[in-house]
Amino acid sequence: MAAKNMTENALVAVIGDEDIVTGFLLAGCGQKDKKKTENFLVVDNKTSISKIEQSFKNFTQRNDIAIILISQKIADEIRPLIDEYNQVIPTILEIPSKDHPYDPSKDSVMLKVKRMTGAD
Amino acid sequence: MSINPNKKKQDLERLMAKYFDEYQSLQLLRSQLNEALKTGYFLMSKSRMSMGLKSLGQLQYPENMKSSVLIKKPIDSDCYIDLTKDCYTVQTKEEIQQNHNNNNHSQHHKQQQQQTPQVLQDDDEEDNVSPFSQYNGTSSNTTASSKTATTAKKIEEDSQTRKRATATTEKSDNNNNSSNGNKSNGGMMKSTSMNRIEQLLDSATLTESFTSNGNNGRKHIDTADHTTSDDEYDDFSSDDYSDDDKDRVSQKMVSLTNRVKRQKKKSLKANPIYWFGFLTPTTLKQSQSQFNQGKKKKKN
Repeated sequence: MAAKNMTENALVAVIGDEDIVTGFLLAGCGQKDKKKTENFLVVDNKTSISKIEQSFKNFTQRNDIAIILISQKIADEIRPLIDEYNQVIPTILEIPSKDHPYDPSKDSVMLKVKRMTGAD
Repeated sequence: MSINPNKKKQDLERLMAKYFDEYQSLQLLRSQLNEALKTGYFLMSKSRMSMGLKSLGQLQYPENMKSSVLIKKPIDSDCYIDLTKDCYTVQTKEEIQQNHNNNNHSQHHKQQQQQTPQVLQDDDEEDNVSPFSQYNGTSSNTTASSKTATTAKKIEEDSQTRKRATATTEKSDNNNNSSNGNKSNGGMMKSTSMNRIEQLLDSATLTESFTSNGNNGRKHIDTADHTTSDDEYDDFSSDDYSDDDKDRVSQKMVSLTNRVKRQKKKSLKANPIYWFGFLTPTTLKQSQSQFNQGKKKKKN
């Protein structure tokens, strides 16, 4: 696997509903410059799946992002894209949202771990 | 070249044990992250109830924002192979800067501790306190108790210096020679204490409390027994100094005070909770702390 030419200090990207994004912006994860380049995406009912996929691809291609936090509900919508993704950095971390609790059986990282141990 | 099979087996066992340890820590951190986020969502919903539906959302996000959370990670690609290394280290900008200037800061702090009197040290403590610390119960209680302790100490010192002053004036009435000696000593001390005040003003950070309480109705004491730092400020408040010196020092004090105010404003604006207004509910601050905890947990 080819290592990316990463910057030393990287950001945390967030894809989630308004509560998730607001919470992590309150924690200081937000970045938005004059070119309107953001490291977060607020997903609501009107957001199309193509837009989510596009922003996910952008985040994974950027070299200043180390972790992508994505709501598990939104991750389910773009599950094929997440399953295809096989890089280490940026790491994808699925988090629970307000309405949908965390399900380890759907988490791609936990599935990989289970596959390694042969639990399946 | 043959590899010892026993050694190979031991290595495999060690790696397997390490793998299970990592898996256990992953599960633990995962549960802590989920718990922190759950509490954060709950508190955010509560604060949305008290603030209004549309006052806590993406309409309040600023046009430009800068991330205060950066993830420090090794540039080399060893972390791809070696699982013993932590690939990520979550650091705030302050922590990075603190690590960067750690040695210089510790030396400078030691020197400052030697030079700075108690009054300025207290002011520094006040500066270091977060502007939102008044909302946190424990920290505000501790700062309040320390403040009361320092004020009690100051009052006690003032009473002692007043007693000393009255005793010295009685002595000076009885003996003229001793009073002349005191005056000459006072002249010497005037220049030294003036320099001292200027040094302190250059080095230390002052707050509004210093300007309001520093010269608060204290009398000049012309004695040779100057041990406390408050006495030095008492010297400055006397009539022996020229108006130019007083003006110069007071201008410095005012400029330093303004600088401190600007720094406080900057630190307040740097906090993202400022986006949602000045009087944000306590639940929102608690929610912010929960998300901060969650941010630290995702280090795995």
